[in-house]
Amino acid sequence: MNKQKNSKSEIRNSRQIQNSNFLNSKIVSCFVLRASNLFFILVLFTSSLLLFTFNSVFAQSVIPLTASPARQEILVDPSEQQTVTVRFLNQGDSPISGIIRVADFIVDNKDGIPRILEDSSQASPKYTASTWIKSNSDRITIASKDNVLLQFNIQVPDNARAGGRYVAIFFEPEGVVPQETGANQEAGSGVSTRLASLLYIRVSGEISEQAMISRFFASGFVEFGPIKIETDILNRGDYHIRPKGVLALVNPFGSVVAQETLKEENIFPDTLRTFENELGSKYMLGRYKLTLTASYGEKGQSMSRSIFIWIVPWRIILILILTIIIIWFIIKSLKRKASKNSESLKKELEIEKQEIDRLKKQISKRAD
Amino acid sequence: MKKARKIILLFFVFSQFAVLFIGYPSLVDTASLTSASATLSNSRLSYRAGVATGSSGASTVDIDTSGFSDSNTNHLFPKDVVCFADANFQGCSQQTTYTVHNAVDADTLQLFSPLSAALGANDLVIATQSGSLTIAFTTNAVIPTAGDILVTIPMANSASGNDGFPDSSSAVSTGGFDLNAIAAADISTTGCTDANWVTTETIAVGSGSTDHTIRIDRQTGSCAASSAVTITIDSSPGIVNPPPITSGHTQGVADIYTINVKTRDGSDNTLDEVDIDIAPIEAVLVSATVDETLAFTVAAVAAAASTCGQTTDVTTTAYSVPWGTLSTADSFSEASQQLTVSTNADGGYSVTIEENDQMGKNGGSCSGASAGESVNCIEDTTCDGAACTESTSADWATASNNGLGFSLANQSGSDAEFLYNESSRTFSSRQVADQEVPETKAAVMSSAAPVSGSSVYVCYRISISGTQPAGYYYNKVKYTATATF
Repeated sequence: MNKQKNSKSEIRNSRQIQNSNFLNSKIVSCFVLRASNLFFILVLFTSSLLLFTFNSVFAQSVIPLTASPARQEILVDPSEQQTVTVRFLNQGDSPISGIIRVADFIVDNKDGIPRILEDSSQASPKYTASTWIKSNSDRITIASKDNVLLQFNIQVPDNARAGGRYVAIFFEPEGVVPQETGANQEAGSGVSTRLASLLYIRVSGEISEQAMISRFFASGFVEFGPIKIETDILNRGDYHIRPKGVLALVNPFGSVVAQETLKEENIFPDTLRTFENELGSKYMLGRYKLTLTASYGEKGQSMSRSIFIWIVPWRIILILILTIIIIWFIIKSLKRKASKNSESLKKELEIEKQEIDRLKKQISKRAD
Repeated sequence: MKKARKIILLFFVFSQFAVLFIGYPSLVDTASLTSASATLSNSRLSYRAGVATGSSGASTVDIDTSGFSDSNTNHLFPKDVVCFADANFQGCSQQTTYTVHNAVDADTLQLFSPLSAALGANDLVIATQSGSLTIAFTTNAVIPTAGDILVTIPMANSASGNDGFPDSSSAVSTGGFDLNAIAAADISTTGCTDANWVTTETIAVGSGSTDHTIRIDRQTGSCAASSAVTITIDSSPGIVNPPPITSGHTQGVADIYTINVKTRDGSDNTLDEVDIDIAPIEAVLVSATVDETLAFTVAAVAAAASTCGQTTDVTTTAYSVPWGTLSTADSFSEASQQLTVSTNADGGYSVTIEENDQMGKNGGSCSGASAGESVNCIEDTTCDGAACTESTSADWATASNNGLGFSLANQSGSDAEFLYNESSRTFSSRQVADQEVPETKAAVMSSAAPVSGSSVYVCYRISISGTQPAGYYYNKVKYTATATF
């Protein structure tokens, strides 16, 4: 009886074990399924995330950005607080992220190309203002086909010296160094782009305005016009200037034969800028006077220089002279020839005359 | 007694009629001229304000904010020509006119050029507005031979109404136009056979409270009823519009003046007449500010593209030049990027290029300008014959002259700083300016004028020797786009 009970209980137990095994296997298989689903979802999510990331930044084939305004000028007083705004536009199909920075710049070349100073300690404190400017954000993302208007607060120090301060506000999407693949000899360059908006700050107060034409050059002797003129204007003042000038070419009789306006361009303080012009027509002759008169600054100061240039189309003149000489020789030789002919004719005539006289004498002798 | 009453009554009635007849005499059938109009070619009110301050050499002038026709700068526009006249209107100060740059604020105007002399406290700022006046009407009655047309143009009371300066007044009834020394040659009359009107019109300049008149005589034949007649005072010099009245004028609301036109017979009896209103008003400045913008695009160039006379081996992105594996020694690998710029800045733009360092193994430092493979760097190329730098280009056609360099080709426009095929070269190259040294950043493209869609290929070239240590070499290149200063 006990045995039967035991066997029954064993059967029950074995059934229970079977049931529990079945349940366990079900639960395990269920877990396996869930895990594989989760893994699948995770893979999908990660790959889509990677795809999204690569599409948006790493594999982007174009970065089309616009800064507005490209240049702006403001007048501030010492201790004044002012704001300026700069707008950056992303015309691309993907969002672009990058950093916003304010840096001082100078112009140290004749072409007016600004040089952004990465380290403000490199710059002359006379023209720096980057430390006066604060932005609310130093990193932005510009959505596709969208723009971001950034506001910058300028706090002018109480003791700010009157004159010009120059800063560049720029947006810089960061370059990405290509991923290493593990090859033997491998190379890559990350390329970053920096788009700057220039800000010219004029601190009010009495400033020195001084400029000079440091070089006014044209070749002293030319064969043909127009005359190529190079002008260097040096700004020795505290603020940039934008000279307005006129170049005039005066002929030997004192009449102005050509005039041209100097292109209006900004000249950074303590920097010179080169202007190139051409004046006059192709054919000119004589000693011409070339004059530049320009005005600059808020007080309408002026500067002028003049030089003299000989314009002689010497090859044409030489050809003309040679032609005249040749014609003179031809005429002379023709004349000589004609005179020779006349001499020989005279001689022939004389001979004929003598012959006639001789014949006359013979006839008269016969008649006698 | 009755008889006397009758006589008195008769006398009373007669006297009433007599008073009526004498007091209100019936003129010769006067009626109104029809289809009458007066048109100013420039209906803008003149500007006349008092000078508060204006120093010699300064290009700004402050105006008085009360007591004159204009008490603010609202009605002065950029490019308006102003004259600073004294109270006696003896011409403009220093015989010079100035052009307005802009209105700085409500009582300060900025000129394009500085004042050549200081302005007086009683001087005036005047911007004259003048133009032609065309009067058209249709006659009602016949204008006989020896008849005339009389045009009366209002003039400011007690002003000098013919000196070309706009004359101010406190009210429309006492204000009016300045004739600006117009002559008979400036007036023409058409209609009713043009030649039958006199060509030497009689111009009477007003004085005191008498207005200007212009009389146009009919010298031959009559002018029939219902004839269209047009009288024109041309625009050179043109009559001068008044400034706003000094009392009760609202900016944007016209001051309405009345021009009277009469037709008369030979005895100056009025045949027909009409009053025509004319309404000079402040103009509206329509302006829009267009900011200077600078657009800069960096674009990838795919492999197998033809740029700078070479076929690219690598597909770049806008963010990188992935050279990949450089498996063949002493052979060139080519890669390109395309830069495009548009700007309306009048000084143009420039794009410079720089690198943080030469290519170092695993980004390691390459100290100096010529750190080579001995210190695990790929050196910047010096081209064939060690002739190129970051500012000087030279031909680089021999692949055993190893290094990294770049050249340029114009894709659109001509803004590249140098060209791959300059001086009959195969691949004229330069180094990228190394900021670790540091070298001066060099321009790759620039223009001194506004451009639209100027585009340049930056063509990178790399070659390594067979002894270049294995590893991953990289650096960072940066383009900076700015407007020209």
